[in-house]
Amino acid sequence: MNSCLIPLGAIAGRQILTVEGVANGSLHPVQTAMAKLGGSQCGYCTPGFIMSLFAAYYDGTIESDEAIEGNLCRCTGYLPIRQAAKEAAQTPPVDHFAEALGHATPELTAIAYQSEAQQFYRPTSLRDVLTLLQQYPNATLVAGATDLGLELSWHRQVYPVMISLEAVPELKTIEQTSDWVEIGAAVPLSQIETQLHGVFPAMDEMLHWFAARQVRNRATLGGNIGTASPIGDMPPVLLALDARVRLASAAGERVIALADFFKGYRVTDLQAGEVIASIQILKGMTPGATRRLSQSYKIGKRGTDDISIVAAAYVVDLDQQNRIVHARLAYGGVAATPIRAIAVEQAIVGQTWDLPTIQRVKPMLHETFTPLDDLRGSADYRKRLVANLFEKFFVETSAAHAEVSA
Amino acid sequence: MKRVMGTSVSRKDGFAKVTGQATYTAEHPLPGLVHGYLVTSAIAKGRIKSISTQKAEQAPGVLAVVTHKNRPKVFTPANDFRNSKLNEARLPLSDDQIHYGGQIVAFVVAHTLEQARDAAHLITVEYDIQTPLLEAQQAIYEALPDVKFNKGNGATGTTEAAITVEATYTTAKELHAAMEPHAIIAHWQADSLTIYEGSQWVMLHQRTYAELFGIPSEKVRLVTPYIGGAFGSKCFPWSYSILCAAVAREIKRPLKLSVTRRQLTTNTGHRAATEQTLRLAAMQDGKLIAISHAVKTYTSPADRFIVDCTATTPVMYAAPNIRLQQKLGVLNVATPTYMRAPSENPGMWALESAMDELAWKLNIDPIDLRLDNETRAHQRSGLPFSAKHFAECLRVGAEKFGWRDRPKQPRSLIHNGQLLGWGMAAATFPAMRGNTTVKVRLLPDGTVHVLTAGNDMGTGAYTMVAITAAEALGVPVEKVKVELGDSLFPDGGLAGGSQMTASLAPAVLKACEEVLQKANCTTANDACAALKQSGRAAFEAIATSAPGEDAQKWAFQSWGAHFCEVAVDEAIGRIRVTRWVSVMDIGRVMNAKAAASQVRGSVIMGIGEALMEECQLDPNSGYPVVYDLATYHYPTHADTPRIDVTFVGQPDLTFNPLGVRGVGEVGITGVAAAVANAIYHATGKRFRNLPITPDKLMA
Repeated sequence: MNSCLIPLGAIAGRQILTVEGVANGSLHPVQTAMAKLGGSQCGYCTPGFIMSLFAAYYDGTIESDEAIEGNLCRCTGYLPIRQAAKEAAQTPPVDHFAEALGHATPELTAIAYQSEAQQFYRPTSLRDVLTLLQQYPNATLVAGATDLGLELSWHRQVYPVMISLEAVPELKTIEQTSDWVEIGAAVPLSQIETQLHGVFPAMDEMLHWFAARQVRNRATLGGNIGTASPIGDMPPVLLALDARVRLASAAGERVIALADFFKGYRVTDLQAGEVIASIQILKGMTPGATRRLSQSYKIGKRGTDDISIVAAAYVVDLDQQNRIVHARLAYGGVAATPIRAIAVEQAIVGQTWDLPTIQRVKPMLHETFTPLDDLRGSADYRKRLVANLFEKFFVETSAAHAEVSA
Repeated sequence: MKRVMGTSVSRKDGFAKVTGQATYTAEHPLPGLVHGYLVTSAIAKGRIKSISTQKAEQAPGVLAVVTHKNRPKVFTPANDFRNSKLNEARLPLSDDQIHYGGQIVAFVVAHTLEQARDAAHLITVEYDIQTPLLEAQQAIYEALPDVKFNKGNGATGTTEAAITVEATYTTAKELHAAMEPHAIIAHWQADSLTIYEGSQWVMLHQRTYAELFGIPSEKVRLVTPYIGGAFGSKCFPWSYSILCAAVAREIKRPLKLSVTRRQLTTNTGHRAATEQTLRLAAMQDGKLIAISHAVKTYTSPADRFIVDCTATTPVMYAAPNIRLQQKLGVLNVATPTYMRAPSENPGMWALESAMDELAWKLNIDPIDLRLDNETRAHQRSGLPFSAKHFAECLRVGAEKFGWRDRPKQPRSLIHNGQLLGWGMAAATFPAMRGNTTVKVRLLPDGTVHVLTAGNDMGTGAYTMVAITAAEALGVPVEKVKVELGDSLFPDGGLAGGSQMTASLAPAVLKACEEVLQKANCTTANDACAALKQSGRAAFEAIATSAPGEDAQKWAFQSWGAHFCEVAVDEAIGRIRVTRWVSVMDIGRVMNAKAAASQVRGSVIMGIGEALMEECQLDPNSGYPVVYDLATYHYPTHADTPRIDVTFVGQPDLTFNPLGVRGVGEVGITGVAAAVANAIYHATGKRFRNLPITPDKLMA
């Protein structure tokens, strides 16, 4: 986790380990390997790398690229760090940290901190959240704080009342049946990544590119749609999957389509006193369909640790005759909100899923949105991505299909 | 005794760094420390009409608010590189003029950082705004001598040429973006000043503060044991440093200033953008007839910094006619400074791109074109190179990469629906060395202490010094204790221009030899025995090493070659570097592990320069819109290919007694050109403006 993104109140009741605390008499295997293999050069980024590798050491992912995707180094060229990770993996994680990880994490307790200017609450039930919201209808809701943390630290924002959703069990669970999935708004993305792996390929893919692991350990789906950024990574995926949002308030609950939730630039349909409770997604295909194709794409300036220039997510249901019976083309980074290309969706339903169909709608897709020029990419580049990514989706899914049927 | 030099030795500073014990500037604990915060200009050109500080002065915890109206007095230093040097000649807050966006306009001091920051935001400034000059095309060019160098009939010698290439290449404004942000702690005790600050040149830093405050050098102590990366940005005091030290004296408390990521972009230098027009003329057989290199760079109104992109042009390729020109413009942009191969890197981008264009035009293998025009001497000084294994770099690199088997035509390599391209470029950087002094002490238990003010900004100097002493005295590396980065130690010279190792290692060697002479022994073992017998505490020697007369007879230069593969997805504009081979001739390799890492780090920085690094300015305010590590993109692990590094050549004993030339910068030269050349091979499109971003590829 990144300390700079965590409000102090959020760590009440948690143990904090830093680079100074991972050695136990002798150096931790991760430290030994980093020192031995030259993973540390100027040394300033080293504590961060040590902690990322330390966490990955215990969950068995230390040799994966994801272990260090969220850390920057300007000296080494990363290779020695990767070599250190491989070396550390040779020592099995059998120590008091591993033992501690075997025990259940203690439940978070309710807290209420008050200072002259600020109040920070961490209720432990949805009912308590809603009661607090009645008392403070304009309170700021916070879960992982990966976006809000920036507002606090970087933009010096002061929020008079903050309500943490981190200890609310009703918001922290993932439920699924053979037909649907319901994801609690405050479930960390890394939990969704493991628990729902393989359920929605487009979601798996986007989660892989979502910021970096230490952010995904804190960031939530509720937060990602609640901030309503036009370049949020998950909204296009959820729009393509026709996700619905369950909103709770003291007056009761309502469920609306995510497409209706986004009202404008960073404006949502969330009313004062309401909280995003969960996101619901149906698993099944459209009636009449025999095959579902879906994928997502994130185009950024660099490999990881980046926000998107354009993000896209597609769902296409096909019938036996390879005709499109259902299509969802959703995008981020091309309008004031995450958005679907509804006219194109309608235009291709009933068409055959082949290259001529794609070629026919590409000019239409190209003109669907009027994105902005900014330092991440030109408007022209974005428009071409909107069209080309759909073709890429076709080419990739067709190739995969051809291999399967061959 | 086993040889130590040239083997792979683990870093001496590794333990401190992996345990969080290495102390960087902002981490030095001092009792009673108070905190400063900078207020910077929101406009790029104009005058401060009024500045309102009353609210800030009355804010909780505030100890001082300093503007141009009440700035503390400092003396104007000689600023001549010998006695003193500032990064920005204009002293901070010297008047009401604004020369660039992000210029310091006020400085607030309070008991806590938060109090200082809050108070800083209470300051309001009213400006007389003038239209800033922000684009190179708008620059007012200073009258530098029109032609820097002319050989033969210069650019006119092209009439008989069969083939010419003429093109303009540009590089973007880049940030050093070292992991450690700049910081300083200034601590006055009576008339003595202790400065904690990252410094690549400790003794010059010390002398500069002494001049600024009119006190003897001995009254200034500079402490900089660890630097979290610098890449040229921490050579001399910046304006923020001067302010902090001056205000600390007035308020009579130790004062710390950490420059924020955002403020770093305008107050700690950058690599200036360049515009270079290259003209190459060659006969059909590939022999160059003429090289013309005309450069435009800019500086800020607050200093006069010149990026000499033509530096390596007369070094690389031989031609009877050469013409080098340089123009310097002035823009309302923050002051640029040195950044890793400051002149050579942008220069080689243009030259090595143009050489590739010429090779395609002549239908000659780019390796052969380079070999056919190889130099034996520096064409400006006429001095022969002391050693040159450039041809071997090309040969070994080509072999390792499989270069000669490549499909020649652009767009002919396709893999997984992506276009692959192969490119190569040469690398070169001058070998320099300066005067350094080192103190070595041998203790009876065999422990060796080496002390020098030279420092380690992450390059591996701690380890290099230990290796040298271990080799010279025949003791294990573990027995050598190295202390660096304190002006109480002997002058260790400059950690810049890739010269730290070349300057320091000979002094370490000499001091170790003198220790043995003093002991009248041939080995450290015998010397230790002698110490034990006599009851003496230690044998100690202080030795100085300086470049000799050889510099008048030879040109010293390091060489290299890069080979790379890129994968281009034209549908989405994605360029990935997928494979890299670098072969370097750097004289003696002191520590194989550290040297390879230096080259890899250089290549990554070069890939960043080629594909993503760019600090754009807001066209209205002139303030950078790229201001942190989320918006200033440099490569992550995911952007990094496997980089194969090989060293060829042998110790360059003409250069110094160890034959070591340094490796910090040569690796970045040519990298961007190799990438662009590979992209041309992949796509058939020639890119001449860095960085080559996805939207440019798709335009």
